[in-house]
Amino acid sequence: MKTILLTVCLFLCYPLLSIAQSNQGSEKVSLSAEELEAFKTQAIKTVGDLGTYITVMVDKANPIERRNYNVRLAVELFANADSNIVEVSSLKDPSKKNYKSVRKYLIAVRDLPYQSVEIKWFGIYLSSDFVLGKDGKYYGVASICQIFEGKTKGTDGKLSVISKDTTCKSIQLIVEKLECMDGLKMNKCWILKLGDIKVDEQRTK
Amino acid sequence: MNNVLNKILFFSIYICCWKSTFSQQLSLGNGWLEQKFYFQVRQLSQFMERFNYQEKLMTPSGEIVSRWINLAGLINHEDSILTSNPNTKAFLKQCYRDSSTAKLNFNDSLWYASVKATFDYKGKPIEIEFLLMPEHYLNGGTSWSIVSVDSKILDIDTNRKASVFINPMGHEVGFLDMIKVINRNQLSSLYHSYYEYNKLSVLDYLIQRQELKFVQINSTEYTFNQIPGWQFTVKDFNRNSLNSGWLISKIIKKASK
Repeated sequence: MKTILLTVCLFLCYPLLSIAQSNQGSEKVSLSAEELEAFKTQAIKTVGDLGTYITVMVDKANPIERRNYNVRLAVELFANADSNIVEVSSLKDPSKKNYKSVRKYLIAVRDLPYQSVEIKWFGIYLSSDFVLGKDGKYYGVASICQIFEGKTKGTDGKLSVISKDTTCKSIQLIVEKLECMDGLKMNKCWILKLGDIKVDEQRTK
Repeated sequence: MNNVLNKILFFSIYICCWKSTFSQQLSLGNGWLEQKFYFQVRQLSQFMERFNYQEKLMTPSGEIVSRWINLAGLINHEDSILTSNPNTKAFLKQCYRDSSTAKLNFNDSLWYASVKATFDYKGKPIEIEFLLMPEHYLNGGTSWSIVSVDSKILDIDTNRKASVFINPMGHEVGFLDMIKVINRNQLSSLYHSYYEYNKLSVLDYLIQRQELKFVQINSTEYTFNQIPGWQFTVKDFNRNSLNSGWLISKIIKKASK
């Protein structure tokens, strides 16, 4: 099991490592058009990975170790899960908003009271540009929507849907220059991380 | 009549536009939500791309629609005052006609964001409005920076009374006049005429003293001054409609010089 997880982890990290920069000495290094395009592809994959981890961590059919492991994997996708914020607004009361750190949000998601969940992701949209920030990192936004179905076991032992909602998330993307392994050497490379998240509940028709 | 024509024009976008040439991966199913998110302007960057005709809508037969229709889809159709206003049509016409120059640019200073947020002040909710603008740096980077702030709680009496001042020889007696003025709560009368009262500093002080605590951000809207002769505002309309997301909520024709 551990070998499989390690393989999955290495697989997820590979695209990040492969976008290593060669001119890391300069302060004014910027991303080329090709690199930006590569990061757009990577961003879509990373947001998809976050969805996969959430699906696994919520599902009570999975052992708690696996669910916790997926919380950790999800946390690793963020620049800083303790300072990155999730803002949740509800359609019932749009005037009220809740804020949580990403870590607390993921733990709350893990502890949702469902036996099993089904999450259908759709409509990923990524703005065309990553914009350079004053700190030298590049910032972009991905929007993604999900239909969430929470199921619990009834008295007859069958799973039935007790909760269904649709939410759209705007997820900040941060492309950051960090130390990374390039073969056997440490090198500087650009790595994509997730940042703050804004969640909007949507009406279903 | 004009109103009706406009409604037909705006409605036509839904009939003729079924898909758009998003360069990104966009999974499109058959459900209502998929359709909604297909048309919805989901990010301000997307609004700018559609406005600039970089992201183009297409007809069912795959033909790219005119910039006019692309632009018309960015208006809040559910505001009949806006859609029936002749200014709306004139604005769209100008953007359509001057297609090479009527573009929005993230990297200039001709647009700003207004953010309304609630704070708690001694147990009471207080709304504070922030005005932010993109600020550019030598490394080519950008950040959003607060330009100004406004709220009733930050208003103080800054009237300068002509009769209240420190006389020119006041320094010889150690500025004793100042004590009297401060005790009468008339300090603003002593401000130098160059000094401008700064609400942002007051806000910062109250936050640092923990007298003012952040509760939540209520709304964000953007005001653009990048189209010559016009100012328009863009807001997020989170609703169950194909015409939703970041849309133009207000168009103002600037007075000609």
